[in-house]
Amino acid sequence: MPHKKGDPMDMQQTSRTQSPQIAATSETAEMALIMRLSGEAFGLPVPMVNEIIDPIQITRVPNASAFAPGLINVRGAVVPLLDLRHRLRMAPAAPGATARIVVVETTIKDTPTRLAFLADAVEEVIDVELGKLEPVPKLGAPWPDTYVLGVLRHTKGLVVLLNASTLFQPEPSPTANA
Amino acid sequence: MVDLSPAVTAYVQESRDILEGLEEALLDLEKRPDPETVDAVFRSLHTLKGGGAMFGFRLMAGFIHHFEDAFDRVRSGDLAISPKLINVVLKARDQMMAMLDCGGDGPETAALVTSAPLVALLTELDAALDNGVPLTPLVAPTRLWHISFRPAATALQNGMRPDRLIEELVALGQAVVTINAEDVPPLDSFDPSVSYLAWQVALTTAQPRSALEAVFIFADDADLDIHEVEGEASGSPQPDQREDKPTETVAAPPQKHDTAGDSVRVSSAKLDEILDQLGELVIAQARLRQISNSIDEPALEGLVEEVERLVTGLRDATLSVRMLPIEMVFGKFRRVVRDLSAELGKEIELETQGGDTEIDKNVLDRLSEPLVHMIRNSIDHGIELPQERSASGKPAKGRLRLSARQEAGEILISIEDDGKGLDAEAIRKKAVDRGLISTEDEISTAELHKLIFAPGFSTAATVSSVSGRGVGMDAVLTTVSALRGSVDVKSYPGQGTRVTLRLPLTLAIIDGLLVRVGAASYVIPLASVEECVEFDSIEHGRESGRTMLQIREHLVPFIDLIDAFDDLPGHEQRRRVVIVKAEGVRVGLVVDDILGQNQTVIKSLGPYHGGLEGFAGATILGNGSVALIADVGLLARRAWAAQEHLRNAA
Amino acid sequence: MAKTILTIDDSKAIRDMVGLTLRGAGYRVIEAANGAEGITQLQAETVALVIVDLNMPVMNGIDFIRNARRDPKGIGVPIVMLTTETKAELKAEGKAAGATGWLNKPFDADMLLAVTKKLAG
Repeated sequence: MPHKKGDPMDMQQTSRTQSPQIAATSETAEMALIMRLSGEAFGLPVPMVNEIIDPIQITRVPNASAFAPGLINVRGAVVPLLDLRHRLRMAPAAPGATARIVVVETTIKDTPTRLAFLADAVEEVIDVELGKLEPVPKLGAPWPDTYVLGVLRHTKGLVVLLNASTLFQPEPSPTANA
Repeated sequence: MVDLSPAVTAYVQESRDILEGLEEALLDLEKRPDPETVDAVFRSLHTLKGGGAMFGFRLMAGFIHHFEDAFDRVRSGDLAISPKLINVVLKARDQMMAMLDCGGDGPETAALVTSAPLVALLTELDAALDNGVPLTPLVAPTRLWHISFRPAATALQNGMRPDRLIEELVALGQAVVTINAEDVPPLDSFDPSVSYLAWQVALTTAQPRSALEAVFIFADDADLDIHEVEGEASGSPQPDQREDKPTETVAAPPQKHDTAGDSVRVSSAKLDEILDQLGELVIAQARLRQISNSIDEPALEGLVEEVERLVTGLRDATLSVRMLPIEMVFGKFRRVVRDLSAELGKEIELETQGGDTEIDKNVLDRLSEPLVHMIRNSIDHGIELPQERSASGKPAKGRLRLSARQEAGEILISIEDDGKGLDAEAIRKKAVDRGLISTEDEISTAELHKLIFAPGFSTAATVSSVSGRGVGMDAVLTTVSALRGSVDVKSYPGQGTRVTLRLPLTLAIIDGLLVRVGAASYVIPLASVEECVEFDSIEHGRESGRTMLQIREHLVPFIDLIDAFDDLPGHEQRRRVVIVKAEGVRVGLVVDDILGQNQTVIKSLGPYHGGLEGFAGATILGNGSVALIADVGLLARRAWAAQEHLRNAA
Repeated sequence: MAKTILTIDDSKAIRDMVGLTLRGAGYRVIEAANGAEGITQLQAETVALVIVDLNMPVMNGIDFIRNARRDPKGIGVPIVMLTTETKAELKAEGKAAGATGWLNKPFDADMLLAVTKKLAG
């Protein structure tokens, strides 16, 4: 069942823009979609999320980079399927029963671009106060700093907030070699 | 200031057309000043000015007024056409285009009108007007015409007044009129509503044939003969050629291009939208076909076939709407050639051929710039100065030929000059300097020629203002490749250079051959497919290390797509070879199976896969999955390169 | 006395345009919204020129021309049909029905005046 950009998430978004109080703090507050990759919780800004769909057939692109190995059909559009695990330096893993494809829209080379990636599970939408973000612990985290905004303490544990402006760029960030 | 009402938008659009026509007319006038073209220029300026005042382009109208005035004087024989005048009006025309872009009276236009270049233009115009006595007063020579006219018998009943037409004709010059009443019957059988008379007129006039024909515009069912009596003309010598134009309607708009009538202007964004929708329809139809195949219901089968036929028809119709004659960009080049040859002190004759070849609008739009670049290059680097040419026994005037033609699903556009040709040694030296090749590299002349398209390459010894602008011929190659096309160059020292662009007919939808390689499906553009044969049934050329296939009497190199697409070899018993022709050569593509034909809606590969070699795009199949479209040109090049390599190693 | 021009068109905009242009040039202009009304006007008045659109409700332009040419008051009256460049067969049909001339749409005031002067004097 595809979860269209609709019901619960959209309503929250709408209520946010309608409430002047919260809108006033929108510079520092964000809503994040929480998903899991290899057990870790990651957050992405909700406004960029287009839709969440069940896994579908993936077309392998011969000789493509490991970060963008495939293509999928999202409602008649050909959309690249990215491997976030690869970019975040996590071991490859096969998708399980709860796996979902997250479709996002972002700007690549000045062009609005739709792209998708596989997540092991998509969990919830939470409010994030950017002011309460903590830096990434130096030890134990495989992912390059440049792709992460910070870490957030949440009821279910640590959430890693991803930096959408660097994460999806076709070329790996030059500072990602740290 | 950009929110234009539809009427204003229409005015701006029409004005652009008029300005295009004006440029043509001015260039014609420069070559051959004849009264009809003078008239056309005057009318264009007049129409622009009139509309400008009505649609909120008053500042522009004020500016145009000066030039309209000048041409009114030319019309009345008060002022001669001079290169100076043509020059200043051409420049003014460019400014009018700029004013249209400003979208009407406003600070932007005001700034433009008071800008230094515009004020300078008016001064320049004054200078052109101050030529004193016109050198050759523009009075057309008078000629003697014989006109015989017999109205149709029903003419009177149908409201025609032949007497009035003859009066109109006589008013054009000096005339001798003879009435032939032989056919008038005796009174008892005379019918006053039937026309029995015939007229013979000998007319001496300076008016062109079209003016005479215009008199009889509505008498298309009459016996009419208008012919010029040679040798009886008086006045100045006649221009060498007179066009006998078909009847011109008085009511026809003063434009050369047929923009009136039942045609409708549609923004290209809307066309793109229709095409997108059509693409979705093609995909939906493919899904329908898939479902129908799995159900095996004859009634559904028939309907699916019907829908398929309709979709194909709709596709062809939609694509044909988007096709435009390449003339539309060729026209622009006259000006480029004129201005450039003047700037560089060269004499150049531009020749065009196949301007009516049609090409997708999106291709055309993106082609204009690379073509201009190539023309600049030919004029700047190719064609020599007149004295240089004369010294080497060539005519002083250089020739530049632009031609277009359609061939096997492709458009071929050539730019050919009779200049000095590419200097292979200079190219080699520069390529070594630039680190593109090493001194030891053994490179054929043809390959050296291709290097002019390499990034950052420029052959001019001195950087000229014309083509040495940092964007080299590599920009041409980039654009052409993005359009799924290719570039070919042929050059002979001392004789000239020909660059040929090969482009697909359309960017949007193609017929494809669906093939299976490993577990995946791929599309091969059908236009490049020559035939399909079984792989094992043909003998492989042994001595060439199994890279050649014997296809009847020809040896054809092949490439296994399992290797090219980095897939695992399967256990296919009967593999197939698709023989394709690309960039003028034949190659075989070995596949696991051929699945059938389909209509392929081409979707571009985004920033993640766009740079990848081997694919021209992607498409969505009937089962909803994505399939990649093979870049046949690239695969062909690769197959030949591998073959070449093997032969050299042997 | 001013010559009378009859304009038959279901578009009021066109009738107004014809009216404004020709009245400005000193003609008297009367109007009809379709071919049938046009025939009534033609019979009631002495008309120097008819300008008729082809595509109209009730009675179209071709039928108007045929009927006018059968009417004693319509024989010999110049009739201009409003045509479009691309519909050549319609133009031929109109000519066969008895039209004197045609005016291609879109037209402007200058073209209209030129054709009117040519046929009505």
